[in-house]
Formats: sequence, structure tokens, C-alpha cells
Amino acid sequence: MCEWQQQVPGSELVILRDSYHAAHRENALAWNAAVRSFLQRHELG
Amino acid sequence: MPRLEAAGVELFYESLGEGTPLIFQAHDHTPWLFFQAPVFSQTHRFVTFDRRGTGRSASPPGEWTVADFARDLRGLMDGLDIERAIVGGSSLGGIIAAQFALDYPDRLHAIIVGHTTPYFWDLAREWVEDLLGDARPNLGPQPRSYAWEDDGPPTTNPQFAASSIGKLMASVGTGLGRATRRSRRYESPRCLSSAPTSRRRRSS
Repeated sequence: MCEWQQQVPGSELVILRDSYHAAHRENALAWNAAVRSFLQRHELG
Repeated sequence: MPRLEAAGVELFYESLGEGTPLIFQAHDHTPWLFFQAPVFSQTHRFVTFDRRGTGRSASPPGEWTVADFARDLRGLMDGLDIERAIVGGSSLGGIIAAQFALDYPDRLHAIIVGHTTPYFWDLAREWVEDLLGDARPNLGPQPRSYAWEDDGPPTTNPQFAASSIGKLMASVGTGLGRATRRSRRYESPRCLSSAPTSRRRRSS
């Protein structure tokens, strides 16, 4: 993911601890907060 | 009925709220209904759907490519009169989101990619082949990182899986079996096809 993120200009990488393959449900509060923060900072939220 | 023909493939979808379209997808639509739909539908037009071969969507014959999945997504947007959207995905949904960004960049506001990979290394391809012979492809270990490992890490956090909400979510999933069996031809996104593999990195 780090290599991928470095190749996409303007992208951001967020690592959520204690998450496995389905962070959006296993760690939903943190996942939603990260997405909403990204959207808001890019005037999409 | 929340179905439409997306470039010739009937897809089952859900659309909640209003605002900038936000489409989340990963296999069938149900996981997003628990924790994302109630939240993001307050500020966005939240859309999710059963990908072809899952849930109540059609399962066209033949082998499918990631480009086919991305085309389905474009067709869904066409059918819903969505010109541009924020497209998010997890697992294979992340690969599809990336492919969508390459194939249809003018239809995007942004992409959100969760726990996925832009390419498959040999151990992951072996993992997919194992899944193809397993009736429960969404459970069990993930791909190994190294050949000497006996097994990969769990797909799902065991504590979450054992929780009440984890059990509830597991009880309503509509599965990805048909999609996995048909999706034999995974491709790396074109611009990333030269990215180093984990195997190359280990040997350098």
C-alpha cells in the first residue's frame, strides 16, 4: 500500500490499528472518521 | 425494485440520502449498510450495490475481468444519472476503484481504497486458487507474505467475528462465491504494472 500510495499524487495513506481485512466494519468509527476527514479536506464532505 | 441494467448487467443497488454521490462497494452490498450507510447518507447520496455474481445481481456467463467490474460501476452511475462520484472499495472493491480511476477518470471526484493491493504476487494467486475450491471464500486466512509461513493472518478480527454485531453481519452477507470463481483473470492496473513485487523486494 505504501508503494501504491507513493505513486498516486495527492493521495493519503491511513493505517488503522487492530484492523484486519475489513476495517470498515471491524473499526468502523475510525474508518468513517478517516474517510470523512479526507472528504472534508478536499471539499467533498 | 432497486435494480437497473448497467451496461447489460442487472445490478441490485441501494441509494440513500442526497448530496455528492458516494459509492462504496466490496462484493455484496450488505456490509456497508451497517456502519457506513447510516453515517454518510446524512451528508451524501450514499450508493452501494451487489457486484455481478453476488447477492441479487446478475451473474453473466464467462470469465470476468476487473475492467468488466469497473464498466458495471460506470453503467450503474449512468443508470442512476450520476455524472461524477466519490468511489470507494475494499478488498477486490479497492482494485475495482483503482481500475475505475484509470478507465473513467472524468467520472470521479475521488477514490477511497481500503485494504487491497494493486497486483497479485505468486502467493496471493495461490491463495485465490485455494479460495476457488472453498465454498466459503470470505473466511479463513489471508495470503501469506512469505513462502515459509504456514498460514496467513486471519481475514477477520476474531474478537469482532465473535461479537454480537460481527455475528449479525456474518448472518446477512450474500457472499462472493460466484464472483470469485468467475474472476480468474485479475490484472494489475496498467500504470502500476511495473511496480516491484514483494518477492523482488525480498531478494534485493
